[in-house]
Amino acid sequence: MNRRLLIALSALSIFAAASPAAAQFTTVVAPQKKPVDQAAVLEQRRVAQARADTSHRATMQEMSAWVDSVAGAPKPGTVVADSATGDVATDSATVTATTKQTATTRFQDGARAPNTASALPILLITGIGMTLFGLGVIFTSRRAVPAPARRRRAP
Amino acid sequence: MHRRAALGLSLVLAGVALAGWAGAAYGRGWLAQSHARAEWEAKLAHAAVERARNYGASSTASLAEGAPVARLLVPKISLDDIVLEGVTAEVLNGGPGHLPGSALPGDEGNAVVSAHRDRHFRRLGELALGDTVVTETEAGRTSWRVVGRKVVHKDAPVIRRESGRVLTLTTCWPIGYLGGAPERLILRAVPLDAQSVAARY
Repeated sequence: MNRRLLIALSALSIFAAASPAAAQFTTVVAPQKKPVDQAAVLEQRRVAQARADTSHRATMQEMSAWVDSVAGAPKPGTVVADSATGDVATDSATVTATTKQTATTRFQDGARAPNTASALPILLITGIGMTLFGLGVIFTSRRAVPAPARRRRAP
Repeated sequence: MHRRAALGLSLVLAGVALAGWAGAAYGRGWLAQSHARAEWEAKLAHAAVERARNYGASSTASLAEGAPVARLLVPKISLDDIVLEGVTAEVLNGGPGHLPGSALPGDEGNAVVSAHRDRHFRRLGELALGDTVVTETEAGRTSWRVVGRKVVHKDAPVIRRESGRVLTLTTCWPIGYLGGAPERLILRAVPLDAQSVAARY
């Protein structure tokens, strides 16, 4: 009788513990869905639409600049060469900035002499010097190696 | 020992690469000058036809960068080079460069020719007042006499518009100096038949 009672209690405990044990192993419990806020959704759509319009306007502005450049219309302050006279008509502020920042590549009244400095000689000499110095280092490192010990012949 | 050998080998490789790159640039310049000379001779052969076709047109409007535009001869320093259009580093590597927009040598205005101090104009500093310079273009040959020689700061405004025929030769100064070039050597020449212009300089 006691044995039967023990078996019944064991079976009952197994069935009772089965559902909590399964819950521990499954781990994923889907949260309950939040109620959708229609106002927030509408706001997000409005912001996205506004961004799309802004980028569209920016694209059209670039297209306008591109069309102007193709048509030959210079931007304000751009250096324009007069093909008839070979002279350059520029805004004075632009001339000052250009003269200070860039080298002379075209004739302008009052321009500085073209930059004729070249780094090739110093590069060539540096390269030759590095080669000679490297050869010297290799040569001295070989001389510093001690002569291998001679094997003694067996008597 | 191995570290020293590796260091030496690295130095040798880097040095050979550096010197090789610089040497190759010199080689490209020499080849460009040779090519320009051949092209210039061919151009002179057809000069009469070209002049007839371009009669009345601007002589500087159609010059492409790197194209041979003149021949420069300075007997005193044994200079005989073809002048290329443009003063960019690539153009100057191949020969003396004609400043775009300036007059062609022999035309009315200021013709500006520049070159590196370590190559084509390495002996330009030997020229003195009164020395002769000869230029040759498709329009003809012009002999010039040096009437001005000065060393200015690199930012000095020395390129000026001229009413008469003027030839301006520029290079970096000091010549024979490695590194930066804080100054410029400016030589100014006028045609032998226009000595009166020299009085204004």
